[in-house]
Amino acid sequence: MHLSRICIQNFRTFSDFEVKLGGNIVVVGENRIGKSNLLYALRLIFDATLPDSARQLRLADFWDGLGQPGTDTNIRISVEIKDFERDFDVLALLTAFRLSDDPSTVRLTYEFRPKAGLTGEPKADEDYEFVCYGGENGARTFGHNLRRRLPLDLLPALRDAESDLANWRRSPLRPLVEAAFSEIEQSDLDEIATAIEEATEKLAEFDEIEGLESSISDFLSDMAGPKQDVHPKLGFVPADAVRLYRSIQLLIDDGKRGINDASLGSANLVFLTLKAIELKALIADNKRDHTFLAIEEPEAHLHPHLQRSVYRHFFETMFGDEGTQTELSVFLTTHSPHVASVAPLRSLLLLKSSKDDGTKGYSTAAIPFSDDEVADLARYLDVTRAELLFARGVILVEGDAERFLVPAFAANLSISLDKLGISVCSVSGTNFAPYAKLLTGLKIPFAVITDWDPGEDDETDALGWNRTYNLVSIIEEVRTGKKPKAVLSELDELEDPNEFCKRCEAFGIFSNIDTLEVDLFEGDFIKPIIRTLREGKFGKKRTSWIDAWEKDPKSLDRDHYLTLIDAIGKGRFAQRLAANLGALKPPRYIKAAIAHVVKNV
Amino acid sequence: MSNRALYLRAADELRPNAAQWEAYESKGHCVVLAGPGSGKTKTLTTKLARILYEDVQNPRGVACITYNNECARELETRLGQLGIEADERLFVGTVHSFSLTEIVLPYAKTAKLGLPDDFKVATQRDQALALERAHKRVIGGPGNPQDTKFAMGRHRRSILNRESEQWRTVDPQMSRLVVAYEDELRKMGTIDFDDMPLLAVRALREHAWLQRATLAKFPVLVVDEYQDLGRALHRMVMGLCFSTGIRLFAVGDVDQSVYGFTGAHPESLQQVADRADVQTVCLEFNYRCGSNIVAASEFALGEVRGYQTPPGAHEGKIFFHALAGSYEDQANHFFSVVLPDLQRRLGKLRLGDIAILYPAAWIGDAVAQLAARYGLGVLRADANALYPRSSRIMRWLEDCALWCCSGWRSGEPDFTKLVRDGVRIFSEEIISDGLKLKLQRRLISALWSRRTRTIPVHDWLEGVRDDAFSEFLSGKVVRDEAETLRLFIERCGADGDAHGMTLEQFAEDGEQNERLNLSTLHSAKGREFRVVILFGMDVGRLPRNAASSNEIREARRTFYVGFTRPKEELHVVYTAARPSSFVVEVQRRMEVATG
Repeated sequence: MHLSRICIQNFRTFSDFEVKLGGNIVVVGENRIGKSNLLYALRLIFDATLPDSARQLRLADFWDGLGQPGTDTNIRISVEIKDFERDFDVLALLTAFRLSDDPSTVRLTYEFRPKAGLTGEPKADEDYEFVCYGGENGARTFGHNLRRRLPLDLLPALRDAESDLANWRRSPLRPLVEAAFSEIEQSDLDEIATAIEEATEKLAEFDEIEGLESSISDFLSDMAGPKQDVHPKLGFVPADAVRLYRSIQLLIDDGKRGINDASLGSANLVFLTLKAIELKALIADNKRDHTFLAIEEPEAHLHPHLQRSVYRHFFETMFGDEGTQTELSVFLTTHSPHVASVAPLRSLLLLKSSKDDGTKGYSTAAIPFSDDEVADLARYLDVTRAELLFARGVILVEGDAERFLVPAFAANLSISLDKLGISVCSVSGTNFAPYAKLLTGLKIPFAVITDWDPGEDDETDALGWNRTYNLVSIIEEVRTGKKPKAVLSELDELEDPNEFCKRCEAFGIFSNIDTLEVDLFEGDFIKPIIRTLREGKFGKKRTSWIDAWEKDPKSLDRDHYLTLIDAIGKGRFAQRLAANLGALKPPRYIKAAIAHVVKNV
Repeated sequence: MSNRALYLRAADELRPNAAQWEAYESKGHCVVLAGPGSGKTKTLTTKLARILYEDVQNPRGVACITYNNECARELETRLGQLGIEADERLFVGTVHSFSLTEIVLPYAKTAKLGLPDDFKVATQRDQALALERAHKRVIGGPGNPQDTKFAMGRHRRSILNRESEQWRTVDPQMSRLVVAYEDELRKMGTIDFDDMPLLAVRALREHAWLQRATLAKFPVLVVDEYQDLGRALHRMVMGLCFSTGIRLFAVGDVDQSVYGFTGAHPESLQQVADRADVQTVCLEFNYRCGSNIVAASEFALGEVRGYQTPPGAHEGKIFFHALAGSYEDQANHFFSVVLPDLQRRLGKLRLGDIAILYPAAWIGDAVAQLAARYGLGVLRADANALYPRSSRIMRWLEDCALWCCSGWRSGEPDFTKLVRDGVRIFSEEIISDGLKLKLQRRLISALWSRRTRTIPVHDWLEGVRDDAFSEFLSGKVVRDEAETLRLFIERCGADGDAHGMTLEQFAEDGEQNERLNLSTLHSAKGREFRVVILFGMDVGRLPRNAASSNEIREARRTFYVGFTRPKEELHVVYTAARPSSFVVEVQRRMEVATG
């Protein structure tokens, strides 16, 4: 089974929240956006350890933008589950909760609403009641019986892993050790107990120890009288074979040090490991049919590099083959780019605040990626530390040249991309499609700056034409969920490339006439370009080309020009050019692209 | 004692009987052919407990389907003694309630059953109105529409597949009437009882996911009284058990199949029992009836079955009373001569130990009239009863009444059981723990303040209803029960025929309130009494005049059912001038047997 959708109304940071999911979820978002509220919403439905008194929310839990909630205003949290028919236990629990128009989906709902029969407007917390029901009809309620079979376990943020590990009752080690010890023969344990006893006796043979023991004993009986004598002894551990396992601790550094001496980060790691092993055992014992494991901000106290390697492994083992694993669903919240950058691409859920309608969520699950695109994007997010996901706006460019120049141009327009949270991202080529899909799906405003790359013969031959056309098609398809027939036939009508490009700018795609460098070689740019070329320190022949172009810019030989830039290196050329730009404003299409993103962030 | 110990101890009681033990040990599909008094209920409930403990793990469960609410009640009581309560893991009920609560209510929309939004269960009045309108549309003319009710019902229950050749050709006008009738019900936003299994069969046939969901919830299906459960249940069993993969444990007796008019046929049980993938077990002992009665019952049935009585069983006696005059005269003879003789001969005989069984309710009227003249209370289980014995709400109120009379002191019935049963009856409305608590609080205060044995039951019912549960009576299913309650309150009111009935009489509490059982032969199925009087065993009554050969066979099985109800004594009363052919045959063969 897996969660296919979450809807939340009027709860804390959420006014009207809806998101489609594909199972495991890595919730990414800034602080205070509502990541914990989202987890709490899920706990209201699934967490078997949450008491009903906590399930009874308060007026303060209504969405802030609401003011005083009226008679018809409820907090409603619904989850939809798919793929529940494979396991008979899960099917038996959920089957009656199917949607009336879709038998392959069930819905569970938590609702906090004014009490039935309440006269007048609800005013106080006591005027409200909560109900948990399945399906669409409020009459089929569910409770502990369902939750204990499909529980949600929460590992909260900033947990005190160290003290939990030290406290036997709370330690995640306890169930594991108990299970392991139950397999050991009693007689074998007795042997150990005897050995401990012997060691303890040896200890008492030291006069110093014996002296200490008897002074404690004497003092006690003097103070409390002989009837209260508790027979104090000094020893390593109580030598009772049955209780022996309680003295087991997890040691680190080959048994030289206790976990208390470990760094905070290692303690967290150990904690997570033990929890994961315990969960697997519980599932294997058929104590539960499905587990939702919610982990809040697991990056705490972990060095960035460790975050990446730990969670890369964690995602690989716990998420397994995405979509096919049915016994465990993981919800993980993070604001760490390091964790997000290694998260499985199809499990990302981005939380963002809207102007006046609370927090919204956008997930990658519903975006129609091909497997190749997923691999491309995953690699990209990995090496760029998921910069895309944390950007408020993105300008997608073909290569390093634009990546250096666009921020410089923006600065010359008095726009600080950094302050606005706008990233310029290079796709190293012209395969914009997966990035456009991702950004459209996650509703991150973006623009594409691409070269028109004219063909040999005529205008219609340009590579940019098709590229732009296809991008518009993809963007609109992801945005609306269907092929944008009307838009495409409108574009088909346009024969003039200028008109075509102008129309496509509305969809965030901005093209030049040739390629960046060729387009730039014009007007005020000629001077800094010539200077940058000269910095290449070419030989006589090539320098003579530069001289000629400087004298008569119209004499520019496109192919020679690009050869020189290639020789310098496109990126290097752009970097140097940016330094030589002075206060020059960008060409129109770059300016328009920047303006497009700035307007939408 | 843990619940497990309870059923393991019950299992030990099965062990000496090889066939019962074989059924208890069965692993796959199993059919138990169980004659009268063979301990079938004990076998079934013990096996069911074992399945719940050993074979089926939470959250999956078992569905146990039986003939009527009364049988379900009996099964629940017996399961309760094994420490098992019906809950979401255990369904116990009729095929109608199974169809309604497990298929139609949860999936009406998803399975596209085409039912109106928020449909209700039709009351008798709704059904009559729908039939009247349908009759006008399809048949018209002066005839009384209600006269077609019986035949329409049989037609509807007999041919399940509306796409079939049979449906089109056997009786096209009747088929059209059925369709029009259902259409009228839908227009009123209702479904009737016959709709429930029919809709369930359709939903299961059309949706593979629903079959799988049913398998997930109930990997084992237990069926009691298989022979009487009709075609729809048989269809469900064939699909769910022999194609979807649900394991079947069925109990029944071909010889006690007496509900042909509801579409049930003895062949369906035989068909399942004869399958190669089904383990069939025959229970051979009759632990109920005296040995003479067991021997003679084969003559009553006209078939050799070889049933035995266990060693040490009492003999049992059979008397024939050839009487003259009207049924009133014959009843008078019973009350003035036979009954005093019984009470003298049999020690500690209570009125409740005696049952008078007859072929038709109107004959019961004669008996009831005479009983009243002799100052004896009667408990009728036939169409003319004060209320149907199968009414869940009335049986629950009987229990509540008993609690008010003596249960609050003795703990029998247990108040928590009253609450639990109430919650189930009103389950459509009571959907939260809060509401459950509300019912519990109201019920305890309503009952506690009405613990006067002698108050008129009319006042008690009105008071308890208004104080405890009136707000829960509007559910789509329970509304029919609400109507039953309303009618009964009316009958105990000032102008009613049951005026003056007291609470203790209603609760049947205490010896002075014991009542004589009056029942049709049909309604006596599955029950047992120390003494049974078969009354009105005459030509034209059993079988009816002009009966078809099938009907004659069924009438004979009905006679057999009555014949095998008594533990100690059987009295066959008939009109001397016109004894039923079944009576004549039994008498003749008994004479031959005894030489």
